[in-house]
Amino acid sequence: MSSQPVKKADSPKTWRSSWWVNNLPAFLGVCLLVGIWQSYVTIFNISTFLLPSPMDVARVAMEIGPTLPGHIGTTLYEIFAGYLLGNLFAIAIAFVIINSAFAERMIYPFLVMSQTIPKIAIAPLLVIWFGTGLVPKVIIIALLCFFPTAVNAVQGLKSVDSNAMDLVRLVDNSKWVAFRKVQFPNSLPYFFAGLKISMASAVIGAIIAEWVGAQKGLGYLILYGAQSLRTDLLFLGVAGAMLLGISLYGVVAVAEKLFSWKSVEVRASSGVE
Amino acid sequence: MAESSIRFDHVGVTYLGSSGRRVEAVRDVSLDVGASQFVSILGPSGCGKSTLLRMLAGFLKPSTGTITIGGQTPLQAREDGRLGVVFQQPVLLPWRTVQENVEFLLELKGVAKADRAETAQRYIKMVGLAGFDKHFPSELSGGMQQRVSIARALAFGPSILLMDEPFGALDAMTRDRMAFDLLDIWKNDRKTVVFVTHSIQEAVFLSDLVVVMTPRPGRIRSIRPIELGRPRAKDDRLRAEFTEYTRMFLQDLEMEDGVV
Repeated sequence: MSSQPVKKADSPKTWRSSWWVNNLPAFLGVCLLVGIWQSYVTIFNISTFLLPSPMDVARVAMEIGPTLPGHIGTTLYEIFAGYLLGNLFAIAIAFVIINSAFAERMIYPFLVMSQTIPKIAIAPLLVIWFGTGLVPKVIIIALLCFFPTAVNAVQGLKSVDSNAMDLVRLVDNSKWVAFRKVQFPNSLPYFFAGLKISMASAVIGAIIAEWVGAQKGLGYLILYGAQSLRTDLLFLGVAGAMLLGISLYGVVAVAEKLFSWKSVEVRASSGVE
Repeated sequence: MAESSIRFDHVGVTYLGSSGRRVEAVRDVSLDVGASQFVSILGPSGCGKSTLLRMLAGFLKPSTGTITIGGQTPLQAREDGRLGVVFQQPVLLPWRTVQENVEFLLELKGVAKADRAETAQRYIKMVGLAGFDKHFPSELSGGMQQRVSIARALAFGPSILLMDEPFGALDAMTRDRMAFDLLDIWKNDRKTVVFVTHSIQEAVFLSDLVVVMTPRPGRIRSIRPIELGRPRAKDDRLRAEFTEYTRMFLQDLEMEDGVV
């Protein structure tokens, strides 16, 4: 044979060592940051009101410990509902767009509009319309997280090689078969990139939504901390939202590993303000 | 075997360009290809070679004239599963292994799993990729990927193979090797092959018949049988006749406005 194969994928052993090579710097970076933060507060004796130390944040977490799962659970539930609704909507929109150039031209201005509207500004309006319950929060989250999925899904479905679609036509003229066997699997990496960005947006959406009217949740905790000058509580809320965001992002990344054939770098911004 | 003969009868293609002007891509092409012949369509880019191939595959309808494949329209021939296509790019599905890619068309056709696995194995071996069946396309070189795509076309069992500059994206040495191997495979089953290329040497070495086309609009400049005998060996390319054919085709191509 004239042609040589490209080097085969890494063996499990080199994979494991590369995992450490990839993740050790990030881990050390976090440790370093927390260390500097703690020493700064301790050495210069900064008041908790101005900047609570990591220890202070941990302390307040222990203090309100029993109520913490409730706050997390509330926010998680909102995110789950909003994310589901937003992404179902995104898939529907993507389908309409790839099937009709007319619909695409009609819908795109609305898509852009939906992203340029400051969500924090329409949140009070949604409260006036729907009260302070779950509904306005789910709508805000869905509004924030449908866009990245819709745009990426459209791009993925459009990026299919027309020759590959023709290949299917050699056997079967059905558009559905071509979609199922070629176009859909081809779009999966893009689709999951959208789902990941979308998840990051959903967490932000939930916090914003809770600021306008809520009795529970991590956003509520942040707002309460700020209004009662409990900076340590505020930090706890922020840390909780961050950890929740990272975990949920991780869940989508795992789903991607299971269902998609390639991982695409998430690069585009989510359009969150 | 007349079933796999091909006839172009005064075929022309005109389409509406993006600027709204009518573009004539192909003008008055008439051509007869006998069954089991290896015919090359030779010409510079923009001469309508690929357009002819797309029409043969039934993906595009001629604006004027008719094309028949063993008495059928290209669309009928395609629906009967008689056409195999190899593109310039391998067009493999990156989420499928070599084996699964070669099985792809058989799977769409509804061939039982065991049968298609066996067929795929046979053709993977034939194109020289035995042992690579579990590899993914991204793990193969460009030449190997194109071999997979040829195996996929052959495994489907078409009586006519349409090849659109299949070696155009490969380096010169791989390209030579692929041409030898293609002849080797072809001499066993003798399908009708329509091979689009812009390499004179490739066309002469492979073909029974070479059709030279000139661009804007795509027209037939010459049709010449290649009488080098079969089977052909690498050394045939050093024969005086080979050089003579090459010279003739160079001349055919240069007749148009003195430029190629």
